[in-house]
This record gives sequence, C-alpha cells and structure tokens, in this order.
Amino acid sequence: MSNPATKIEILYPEYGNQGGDNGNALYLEVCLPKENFVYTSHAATPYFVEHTPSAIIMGGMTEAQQELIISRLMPYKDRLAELADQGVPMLFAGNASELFGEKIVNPDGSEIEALGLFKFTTTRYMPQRFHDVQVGEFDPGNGKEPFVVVGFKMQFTLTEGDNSNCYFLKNKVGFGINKESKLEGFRRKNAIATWLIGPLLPLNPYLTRWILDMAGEEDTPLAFEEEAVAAYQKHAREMVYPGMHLHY
Amino acid sequence: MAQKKSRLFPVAFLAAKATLAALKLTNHEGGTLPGFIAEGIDPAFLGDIAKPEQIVFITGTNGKTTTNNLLNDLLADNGYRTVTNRVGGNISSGFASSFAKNATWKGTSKTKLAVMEFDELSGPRIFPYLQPDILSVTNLFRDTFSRSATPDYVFDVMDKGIPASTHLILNADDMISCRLAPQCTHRTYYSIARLAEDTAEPVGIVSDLTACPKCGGKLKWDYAHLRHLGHATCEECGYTNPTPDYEVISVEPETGKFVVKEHCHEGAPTYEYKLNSYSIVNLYNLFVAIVTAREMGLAPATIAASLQRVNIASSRYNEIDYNGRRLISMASKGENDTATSVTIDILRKQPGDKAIIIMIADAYMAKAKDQTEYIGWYYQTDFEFLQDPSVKQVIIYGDTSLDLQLRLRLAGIDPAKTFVASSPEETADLVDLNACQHVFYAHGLYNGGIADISRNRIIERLKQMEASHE
Repeated sequence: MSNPATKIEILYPEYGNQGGDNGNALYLEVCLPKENFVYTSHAATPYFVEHTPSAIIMGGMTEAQQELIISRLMPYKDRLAELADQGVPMLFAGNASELFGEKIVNPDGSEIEALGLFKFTTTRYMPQRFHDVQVGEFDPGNGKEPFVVVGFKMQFTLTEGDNSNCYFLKNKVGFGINKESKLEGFRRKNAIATWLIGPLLPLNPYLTRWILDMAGEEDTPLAFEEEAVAAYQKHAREMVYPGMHLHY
Repeated sequence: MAQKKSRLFPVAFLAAKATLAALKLTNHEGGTLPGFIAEGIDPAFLGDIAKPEQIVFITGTNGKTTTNNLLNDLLADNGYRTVTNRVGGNISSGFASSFAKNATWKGTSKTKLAVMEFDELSGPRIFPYLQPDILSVTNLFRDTFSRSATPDYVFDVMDKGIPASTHLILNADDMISCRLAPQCTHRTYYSIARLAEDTAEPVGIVSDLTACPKCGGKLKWDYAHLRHLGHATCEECGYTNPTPDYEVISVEPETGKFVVKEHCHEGAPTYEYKLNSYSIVNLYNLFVAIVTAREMGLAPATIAASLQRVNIASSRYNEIDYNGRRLISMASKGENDTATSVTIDILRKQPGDKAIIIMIADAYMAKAKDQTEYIGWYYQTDFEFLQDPSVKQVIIYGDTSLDLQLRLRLAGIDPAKTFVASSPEETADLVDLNACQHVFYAHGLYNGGIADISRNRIIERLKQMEASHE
C-alpha cells in the first residue's frame, strides 16, 4: 500500500501530452492510487509552491504552450530550484525540458527567457526536425547499479550547454543534447530534463522504479512489471543494432 | 501579366510526359514520379505548367481523401471534368504529375477545373506557384508526430501561407482550424448542431483542445461530437466557435437522412440529403463535400440526386458476411491516434460479441533490423474502448506487440482476453469462434494483406466447423 502522504504533481496535463508523453503519468497512475496525485492545470497555483511534492512530472507540448507555461511558472522559478536542490525527483520530458534552461532561441533570432533550473540554451530550427533512437546509461546515484535507458527523439531543437558533469544519460546510441554530444539531458540531483519523448516510463520500468523510490514509494510494486520488462528488454536488445535509426 | 516560364520548363515538361508514357506502357498508375522528375529539372514547374481555370483543394488531418474523392464523384456525376490527384500524391510532386498529365502538348489545360487533395504541410512549396480558388479544411488533429509534430505547428505552416485571395471553407466545430488564415476574408463556415450521441466534453485519452487556442484559458464545453470537434467557449477571453453558414440541424442515423440549413442564403432554406452509412466521421466528410459543391455553384437538388448514385466510398472499410458472421477489416493511417481510435470505437460498437484483431505495427518494418518504429502514439490512442464487454477477445500481432500488450494492460483490458499472436495465421487460430460471433480487424494502411491472410483463415475455420457439424 502506498503512503497517503505521497503526492506526485502532474504539471499541466492538458498541455504536456504531445507525442505520447502522457504515458509517463499514465504508468505512475496505474502504480499508485489516485490519492497520490495532484494535477495542476490552467492558471491554478502549482501545488509545489506551498508544498513539497514527492515528485513532479511534465511532458512535451506545443511551442505556444511552452511560452505560456514559462510565463505561468516564472514567479516560482526560485522555488523550483529550491525543490530540485532538496532532491525532489522531477521529470521534464520532450520539449518540456526546454522550459527549464536559460533561454529558447527562435529561428528568427528572437529569444524567450526560460526558468533557469539548468544552464543551457535551446535553439529552434523549424521546419528541420531531428529524429533518433536512444540507448544510454543512467546512474541512479542511490547506491544502485547503473542501468540502460531506451527511448526516442523527435524534435525541432538542439541545445548548447555544459552537461559533462550533470547529464541524464551517457549514450551508446543516439545523439545527446546536440548532434556533437553523446550526453543526453541535464540533471540537478534527482531533477531530470530530457528530450526523450513519449512513454519514457512505460518503456523503462527500471527508471520508473527509480522515480518511485525517490518519491518514497520503495515498497510499491511496479504495475505490470513482467510485461514492461519484456518490452524494455526487446528495445534494449534491438536498438543497439549497428546503424539503428527511427523509421518514419 | 503572365509570368515568363523558366527556360528549363520545356525539358521538364517533356521529361514528365515521357515518364507518364513509360508508366502507362508498364501499367503503372501516375504517382508522383513524373512530377518529381519535372521539378528536379525545373523547380518552378508547378508555376509554369498549364493549370485549370478553377482550383479547389481539400485539406485537413482526417477525411481529406474521402472528401476529395466524393466531391470529384459528385462533380463527375454532374458532367464536370476535373483534374484530380486521387491516384497521385497530395504533395508538390503529386500536383506536378497531375497537371502534367492534364496538359496538352500545346501547353493548355484539358480541363477547366481541378479538385485535389492537399497535404497540410505542402503550402510553402506549392502556394508560391499555385493559389487555390477554394480551400476546404476538414479539421486539424494531432497527426504523425514524426512528421507533423503538433497541430499548432501544422496550423502555423498553413496559416502563413494561404493566399489572401483564397475562399476558405472551414469547420466551425473545430476551434483550431476555423481560425486559419485571417488574411482570407472570404470565409464560409459549416457546423453540425448538437446530436443525441454527443458527449458533454471531448472524450478520449488525449484532446487537441484542452485550452483556449487564443489565450490558453479554460474552455467551457457545450457538447463534443468527436474528440475536440464540438462547441465551447473560453471562460477567460470569451472566444467561441464561429457562426455557421451551413448547419446540419437534424440527423436520422437509422436512415442516414440529414437536413442542412443554409443560414447564408436568403430565408435560411433547408435541404435534405442522405448518407449511405451513418457515422459522425462519414457525416462530416459528406457535409464538407456538399458545402464545397454548394459554394462551387451546384444546386441542392442536383447534389441530393447525385447522392442517390454516388456516396461515401471508404477504401479503408471492407466487410465479408459469412453466414451471419461479420468479418470487418478497417484500415487507419499509422501513427495517427485519432484515426485508430475512431476505428476501434466503430468496431467495438458493432452489435454482437466479437474478437478484435489489432495489426498496427508496420509489417514491413519488422524485416528491417536497423530500423525501429515509434510507439508513443499508442499512448494517445483510445485502447480503453476495448474494455467494452462485447469485445470478448483482443488479439495483437506485429513487431511492437510487447509495447502494445503493456499499453492494453494500462488501458485496463483484461489480460485473460488479450492474446499475442506470432503470425497472421495465428491471429485467426486464437479466435474463439464459439464465444465471438464476429471478427474485426483494426490494421494499419499497409497491413491489409496480413489482415486478409487472417480473415481467409477464419473463413476456412468456419467452413471446417460447418463440415464437422454436417
């Protein structure tokens, strides 16, 4: 049975569901009862402003929604940094990651100030789109062994920043934060910003296990672990095939 | 003033014509190859080639192929000759192929009218050379994430490029696409009024309209027909659906009859039409074809008469009735969660107990060891519909079956009724024909062949069952 005090905050689910990113919240919702979730939507004040959530999850959205959410979260950027430094697990996936860098640069050169949780700059290159598969090693940092994370990337952006000491994944397959990098994403203690899209947690049951552990739910079993691990192992086996790429 | 043609045009035109002739000799359809070659020689080929006097485009995420085909059939039934791209492509090279085929050697157009399906993202390549007189938009939904990203992105690409002189025919029930191209002042809106089957707000695992498309505010819904197609008002800025010029005011699903009120014409007259097979998707497709035909000048009585002879012909639906057992095969575009969700919804709502066989992994992908396909769209597809108690079995087949199996678990589908098959034949063998009266297939566009393998095996099994009872 889960801890009633556990509160996982799903930020802006009405926006953060592009490309199947809603799968992350969906998997956690099957692992834990609904009492363990808080949803912040539209203009509501985020739960994390007055409370310390057990975890924060947000998925990818449209570019206009990115800018709207930056404006809504800007008053709370220091609070987010404080929570990250306290070790609250956070997963900002797909282009939600871009909200937490220092700025986003448009194709016309104009800039959007972002929330500054991580030190990076993202540049939009529409209509150019970057696709890739990803296999990278994640060091959970909780005394457990590193494990492989698999996933997909489809994005209009590339990112510049020094993540040599604060990356999410060390990639075996796929580009990192830009085409020259093999280091994917950023990490601040347990807060992760990654461009991996879609159902990252269902695809990676061990990463889900880590998030649940970090959220204080070590005793909560993974839902449908056998099925999730079988799918994960197939991807981990196949995605390292030489020349592997995404068909589209 | 006529624009001077590129000096490369004669060579490009000759190459296109030669390719068309070679394709014809080898019994191939037109396709995009002639246009691809012509545009490779003369990038301005689309601007240089002779075109009909009136050009009508049909676009939108879902329904454009069906609508375009239907509109062409309607026009043909009334004696119009059109150039179309129904066997070509809906991108630039497809248009180039179609116009090359339609051009005489003297450089004139054989027909006065073009009615063509138009890919939403092709505007930047096409509009500089070719401006449609009418552009009918069915809807904007999220589509293949790999190519189309988000509906906002598609909207932005379309929004900027549509020529101001184009007459837009827009779906007033779609608060996304109805805002397209404000530079176009000639706008006609169509809408379906509240229906008995409507929901209070959009249903489904995802929606493309969860907030006001203008200000991001919360929407108050009056009703929803299909995902975000419906009527709502923003609680913050007051934005709401535009007032329709053409409105379906009543529908009889049993007979397929529906009444359209033409608010834009004096006295707001009403006209009755008939749909051969009712579904909200078919109604939208037929309705936009009717509205476009009306705006092109066809009389309501003429359209209604033609609909007795031509109607919705879905190339993506195929049914065999074997002694009262329905074996339906429905295709939907891969990586398109709305289309797949609609397919599953239609199949589960068919009367009687059934098995639903899902073949949505790209069958050809499984053979390419260095390629993988994106499965994120499974999480935007309404597999929850399969909880329906009349769905006795869900059988999945394809290279991504393990991902789909997990998705079905998360959708709450009973593991006891979920089966993973390792071959098309096994999908048929796994069906419990005693528990399931009907067998339905939801498959990707290119998986029709493997669905047929399974369906033929079901028929073999049924014949064997009959023989053993004799």
